[in-house]
Amino acid sequence: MSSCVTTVVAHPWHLACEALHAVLETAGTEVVADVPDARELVAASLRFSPDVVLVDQTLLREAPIADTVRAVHGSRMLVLGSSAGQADLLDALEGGADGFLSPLQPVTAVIEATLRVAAGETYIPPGMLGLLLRELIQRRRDDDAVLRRYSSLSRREREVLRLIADGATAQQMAKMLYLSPHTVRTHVQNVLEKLGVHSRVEAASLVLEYDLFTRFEDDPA
Amino acid sequence: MSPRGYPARQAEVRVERDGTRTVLVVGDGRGFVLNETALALWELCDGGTLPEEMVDAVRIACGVARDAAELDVSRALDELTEAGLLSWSGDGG
Repeated sequence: MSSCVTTVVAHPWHLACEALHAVLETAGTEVVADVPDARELVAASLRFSPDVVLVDQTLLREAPIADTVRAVHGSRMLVLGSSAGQADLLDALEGGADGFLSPLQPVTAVIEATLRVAAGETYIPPGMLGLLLRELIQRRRDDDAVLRRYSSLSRREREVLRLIADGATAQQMAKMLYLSPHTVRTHVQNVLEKLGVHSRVEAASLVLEYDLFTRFEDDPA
Repeated sequence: MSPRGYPARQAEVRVERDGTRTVLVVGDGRGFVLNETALALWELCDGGTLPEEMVDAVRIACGVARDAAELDVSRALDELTEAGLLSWSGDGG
């Protein structure tokens, strides 16, 4: 099976490209291109339609290339992590990766991961799955908690929150909502309390981080 | 997913590392070698995490459909329970 697997290697370091190329070819995979940046990776993917794109994580930060790579010919993406940290693993998976290699893994892991990703599996380094699952569960719980708090806002309070997120002052809000400044202050205080935040800046950050307005666009409260 | 409540690791289970393998030894001395996914799920069993939460996390982490994740988690928890590695409580406390 391994003789059928074609790969494109993408890494900004020529040395790393050559080393990965050599390792993959010892396993019988065919490296159809070595490229140094995201632009050339997209071009190589279009040209060769590889089974697997092996890409350094720093290149993913240059451009959102996962969708392009996948759209070409169902190519799958294996990311060479910038660190062995949980955050980089999550970034990679959220960015569309099908597998993640930690820089602490042995060279044989490159071969195993490439073949497994090519076969349609997800590859996560040994020992990192438990932490990843724990992190995903915690994120989901945080997300649910924020959504519950947002759901408790009245229609008027959501209007006030929208203006807070837009950076409006209390006076501007009063004018736009045809309310007295005192009433606006009461609404703002209620919004902060219900969202569990201490300032209007924190409230605006929460809106951005959890994309609240988009997710509740059709919900009239 | 059967509504059994919250799974928790049995307190008397001993964890032994043997090279790349992890062996869980129960009170009567029987040892179980778990694969990576089963071990990760067993570690999640803290008495306050629902199987449904595990299913969601496995679905995202492993890039599989919800049905497949549900089957994997359910099967793994059943096997861990039968092996005496887990107990269940209803209230997550």
